[in-house]
Amino acid sequence: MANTLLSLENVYHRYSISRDIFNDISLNIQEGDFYFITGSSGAGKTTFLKLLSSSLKPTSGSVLFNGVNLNTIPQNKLYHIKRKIGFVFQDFRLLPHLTTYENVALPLKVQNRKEKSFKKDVVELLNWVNLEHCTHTYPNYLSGGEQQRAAIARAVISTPKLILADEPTGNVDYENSKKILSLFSEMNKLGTTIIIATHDESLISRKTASIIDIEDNGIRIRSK
Amino acid sequence: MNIINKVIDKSEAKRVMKQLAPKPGSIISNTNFHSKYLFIVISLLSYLITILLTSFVILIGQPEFSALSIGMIQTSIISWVTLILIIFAIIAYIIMYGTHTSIIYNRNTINLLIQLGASNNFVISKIMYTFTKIGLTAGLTGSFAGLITIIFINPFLLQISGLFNNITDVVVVSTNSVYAQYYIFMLMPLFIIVICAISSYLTVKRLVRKYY
Repeated sequence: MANTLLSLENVYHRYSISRDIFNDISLNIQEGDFYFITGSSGAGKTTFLKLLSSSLKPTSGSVLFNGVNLNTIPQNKLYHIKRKIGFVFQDFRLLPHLTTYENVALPLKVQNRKEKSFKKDVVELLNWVNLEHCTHTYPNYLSGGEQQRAAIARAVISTPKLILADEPTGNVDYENSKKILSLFSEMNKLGTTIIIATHDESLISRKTASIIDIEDNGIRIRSK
Repeated sequence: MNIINKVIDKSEAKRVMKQLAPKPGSIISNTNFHSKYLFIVISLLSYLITILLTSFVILIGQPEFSALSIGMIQTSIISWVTLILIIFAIIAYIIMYGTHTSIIYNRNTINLLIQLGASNNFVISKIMYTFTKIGLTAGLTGSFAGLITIIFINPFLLQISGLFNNITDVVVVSTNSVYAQYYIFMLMPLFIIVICAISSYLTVKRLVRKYY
């Protein structure tokens, strides 16, 4: 039986007195699970991912990662947890002054790892995402699909336990979205837990996975 | 037709070359405008301190200086030291301001690094490195320019003091002052680096704790 990777216990979150986002939500996510998060624009999909990635603390309730309550960890110690989570941003967030190789290697660099120890891994990963021809190219010269794949490679390079993706196919065409989904599926087969926030129904229909619907300040889970 | 193809090939080659990274980039971008101006301003201040300090050391070694009353000597030493301390304080302030600006300018990069698992110490060290490097290059440039200037104006300084003395005294004094200016040239960049490192460290530590 798979271990619980993430737990949300009676999570309540609000932006302001007049705007509640989540009202008493509880959820358990097991290792190796694959989830889609859906909901209308402004429902709180990104906020939900931020809560899971420890970028945001809930107003009340607790978020547990591997049994560790993220609320109790001081902000300057959270980096241990963040290193176990790969995040794919909606807007890619590739640093424009670094090459594709350097952007992908960034999570390892921030861990103060020597370049010698990871150079081969980064090159292999770039081959895996079909970006071997863009190794020394700056992000501004990459297409939308290439940037997205570079962002995915960056999220994967440190072999995280959990990958959170915010609208990963939001800026790419149908063919590229298919490629991206197959990348996530391959990573999931290797045991990585994947959670994708999307409003792309065609993406959801192509993969058998549980779905978390965010609506009316709560969540509804549709099992696969 | 061939000529057009050649032109297209050349521009294509240029475009490809432009796309290739010349060397590994620094994680926190330092190409923003302030690093250039910081370098210029700190070089000038470092130049000023070198000139002030060396000319002070030269003048203090003159027999005319020791002939002054104790009160006059004390006053001139205090004013000189105060002036130099003020310049050091200005350098520290400029570095603090520059660090603050750099953190605001690179806020998205820092946010991303923290999201990717960078510790606060990693972020602090990267920003501190940038400003210590500026301190080192500016300190060396300013001190070297100061040294060159002093070598050129040294005879004039000695001539001024020589107006009241014979030429033998001037030669003896100038030998000592030569050593002093080299010591100052070697020590000044070190002082500037220490000031830059401490000022940027304190600022970045405070801001990273506050915002992240």
